[in-house]
Amino acid sequence: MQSPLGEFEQLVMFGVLRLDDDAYGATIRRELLERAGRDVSPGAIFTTLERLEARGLVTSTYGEPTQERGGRRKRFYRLRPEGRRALAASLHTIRRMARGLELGEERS
Amino acid sequence: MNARPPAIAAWLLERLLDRDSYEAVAGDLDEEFLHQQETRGRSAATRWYWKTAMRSIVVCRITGERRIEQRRMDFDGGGRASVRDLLKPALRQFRDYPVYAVATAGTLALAIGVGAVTMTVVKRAYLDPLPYRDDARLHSLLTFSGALTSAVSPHVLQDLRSSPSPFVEFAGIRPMGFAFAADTFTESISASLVGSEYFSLLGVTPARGRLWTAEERDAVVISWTFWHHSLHGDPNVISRAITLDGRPRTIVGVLPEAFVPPYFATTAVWAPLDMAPLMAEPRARRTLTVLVRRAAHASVDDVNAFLAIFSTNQQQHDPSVFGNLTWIAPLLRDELVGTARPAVLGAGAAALLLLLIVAANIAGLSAAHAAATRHHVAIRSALGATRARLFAEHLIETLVLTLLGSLIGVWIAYLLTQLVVQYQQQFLPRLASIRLDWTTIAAALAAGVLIGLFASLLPRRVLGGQLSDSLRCSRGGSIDRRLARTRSGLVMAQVALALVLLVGAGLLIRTVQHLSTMNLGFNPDNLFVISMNLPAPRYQSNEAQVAFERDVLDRVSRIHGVESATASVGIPIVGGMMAGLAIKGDPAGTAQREIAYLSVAPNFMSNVGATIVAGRGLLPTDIRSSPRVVIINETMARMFWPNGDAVGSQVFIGAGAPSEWITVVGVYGDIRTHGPTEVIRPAAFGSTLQYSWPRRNITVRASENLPLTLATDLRSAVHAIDPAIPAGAVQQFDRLISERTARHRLATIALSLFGSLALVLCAGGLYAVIALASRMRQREYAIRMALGARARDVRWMVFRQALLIAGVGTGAGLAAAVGGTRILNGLLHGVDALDRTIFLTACTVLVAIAGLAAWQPARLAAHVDPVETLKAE
Repeated sequence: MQSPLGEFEQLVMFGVLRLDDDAYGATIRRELLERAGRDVSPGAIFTTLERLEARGLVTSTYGEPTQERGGRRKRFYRLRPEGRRALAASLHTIRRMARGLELGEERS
Repeated sequence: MNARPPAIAAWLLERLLDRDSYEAVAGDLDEEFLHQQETRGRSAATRWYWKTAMRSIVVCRITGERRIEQRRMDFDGGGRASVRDLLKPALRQFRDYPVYAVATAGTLALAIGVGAVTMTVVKRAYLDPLPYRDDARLHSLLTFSGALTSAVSPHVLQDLRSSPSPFVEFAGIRPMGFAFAADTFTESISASLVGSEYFSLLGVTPARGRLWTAEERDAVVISWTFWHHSLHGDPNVISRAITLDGRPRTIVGVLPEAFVPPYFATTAVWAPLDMAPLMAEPRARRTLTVLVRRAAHASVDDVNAFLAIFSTNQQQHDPSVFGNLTWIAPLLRDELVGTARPAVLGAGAAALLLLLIVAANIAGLSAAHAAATRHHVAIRSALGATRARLFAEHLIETLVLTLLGSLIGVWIAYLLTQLVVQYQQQFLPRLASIRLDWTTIAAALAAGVLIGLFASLLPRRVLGGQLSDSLRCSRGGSIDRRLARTRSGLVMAQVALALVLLVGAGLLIRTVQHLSTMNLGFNPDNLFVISMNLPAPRYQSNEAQVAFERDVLDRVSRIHGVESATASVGIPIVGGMMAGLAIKGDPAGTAQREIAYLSVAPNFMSNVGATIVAGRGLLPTDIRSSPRVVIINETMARMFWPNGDAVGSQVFIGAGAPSEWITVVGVYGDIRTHGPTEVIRPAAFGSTLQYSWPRRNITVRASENLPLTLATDLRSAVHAIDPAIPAGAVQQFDRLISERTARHRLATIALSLFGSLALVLCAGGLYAVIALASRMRQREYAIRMALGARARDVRWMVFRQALLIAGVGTGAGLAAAVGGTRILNGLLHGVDALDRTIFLTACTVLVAIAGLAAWQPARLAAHVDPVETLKAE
């Protein structure tokens, strides 16, 4: 049995899912900043993705080196089926727990 | 584009991240940096870059370590862990921190080893019952005169038997020397004449054969040792005929190998005791060593009350003989092991102190280890390892270490026990054999594990949860200070305990020194003695004895390497016999006094190196036909002639009413006839030419380079005169004396050993604490030096801290030592228990050790480069 996903792990995985083919460190960071209001360091994102990859939830591929990255390669991430299932399970759990509860109006 | 991220931050990223992380993280940072620069300007972007890069480094470094951890330990976030899972990290700890592991297990092993041996000795000597039937009711009956105890008159024993008393069993023992005619040589063996009740009293039955019956007057029972050594383990030993003192005897039984008699431990033969001839002797002659068993319903108080009445009766019944005497019956156990008490207690207390020091040391090690591994622990707990899991791992780690240490300790104890057994005879009353038994091993293991667990878990509790929060703590933070304080406290405790040990060791060393340089009244250097019994009936007459003495001295003096030879009956150090004393002119009804009496050849005093104080010595002309004379020792002169008019007085020495007056012709300086630690008894020395017994001790002064053949030559000389005379072993006076001081040496060795171990542990502990503290204060040193402090000042700061710890420890130790050395009181001779020099020396040694321990840290601190250090910060 896999241990459940942490909140930050869920957020990063949603980011990867949203960005589809363009999911790499910098874009995920921006996604988190814009949608979740979280200003996190690239290090935190990288290590989280590393951990998720080690658990077999995401895969990564390297892109071409670019000028704006100082000649370094982008590392693109995708969810693996296991990752989708784990994310769905987490979401499902939260929904089930939240069903019928009034938590106040959501801020947009 | 001129926009480049800040070079130093970028360089740090490259230096501090592994390749994978660096490529991804630095790439993202660069990309974002461009974006930031376009939207918020260069300086804001630079600030952002610095901040984010540093955060990334921290996250990646920590998680990076975690990744390594993960690869190494297949760590699962919260699942159940098997013992194997828990053992693995423990073993890894030992691999990663070998110094901690070895130091902890090693110190524990030492302490357990030394502790277990001490406990074995204490247990055997004190706590274990004597190896006799129902030993709690066994008493030794003694005649008591003033401060001295001696054997019992057979008449008194008979009186005791025939009166209603709290005693139910009695056994009289008459020690003897027998000449045993072996195949080629006549051997001198020690024997005990006993009634058959002796065996039932002690609860011993023969391992082979049986005891003698009332009719068998010539039957004997022999010891296992005699059977194996002198009879070569003869399988047909039962019913074998042997000749003892020219009289044929039949062996009917062999006592068990383990049996050691309470008195006369080397007894080889037990023969029936015939009371009739003893009862024919005067009442005053005290020839029997008596063991009694108290009735089951009687208490020790009953015994004492009874003996008080019994003594009064005896005194009234026969005032001239028993006027000054009382009878006492101490428990056999106290009588046998009582004198070793201070030595054994001292050693036991010292072992306990050492254990405490070791516990403090392990606690210090554990605290240091906790600090060293706290980062690891913090990461583990941040990643979800539960406190229980971490605790379980730590517990297993500690258990394995302490168990290992204790096992090695038991092994050390086993080796040490072998060593103790070899010297047991010299140190302790000979009781049951000393060996490591299972109870002691189990107790030692349990004690080791308990001490280890307690000592290593306690500091972690003291330091508390702060350890797991330590990710947030920087170097030199509160946790480090607290750690340093804890360790300083532990080292202070060690110093205090070590001081107590050192003082104890110092006092005992001084005692042994005092005893070995004490004026014995004679010169024991290269002095040898060989003892022999002259068999009856040939040597019954004094003429025959004197003739033998003359012949043997003549032959012995011609042996190569012998400088002088003399004869006596009884020797100083081993002691003579006790005799009654009456002085001519005593008022009627004066009770008889007690003195030691020895019979010596005229040249004895000058040969052993005694000094004459008044009058003259014994002369070759003082023979049987001339008036009897004696010389006496100073103590006797002082005691009975306080006015100094001893020379010329007439005395009677012996039992019963005065029959023959003897003139005191001279006074000699005291010879410690009963060993250097005993009170000097009044002693008189008559001439062998006038009166003696069929026994001789031949005392020989050998030249400096001892001929190896001396012993054989001495025996041959005796053999040449009369092959029927058994010559005993050759004994050396130095050794006889050192046997008497053995207990002091045992305690001294133990305390010195423990003291040195304690010093080493203290030095190690001090060094570790000072080194850690001065590393933590490096920045402070750097700043001070930058502000103008000289190297000397910094060095002094380090020393001051070491001296502070040593000072506080020494102070506490002094207080403890003042109270603690009282335990040694019974052992100390010629030195005050509060001897100032020794206390001062012990303090100085510890302070010096502190100085030494601070030497290297101080040197390092003084060489701090302020610029480098502050830059690094």
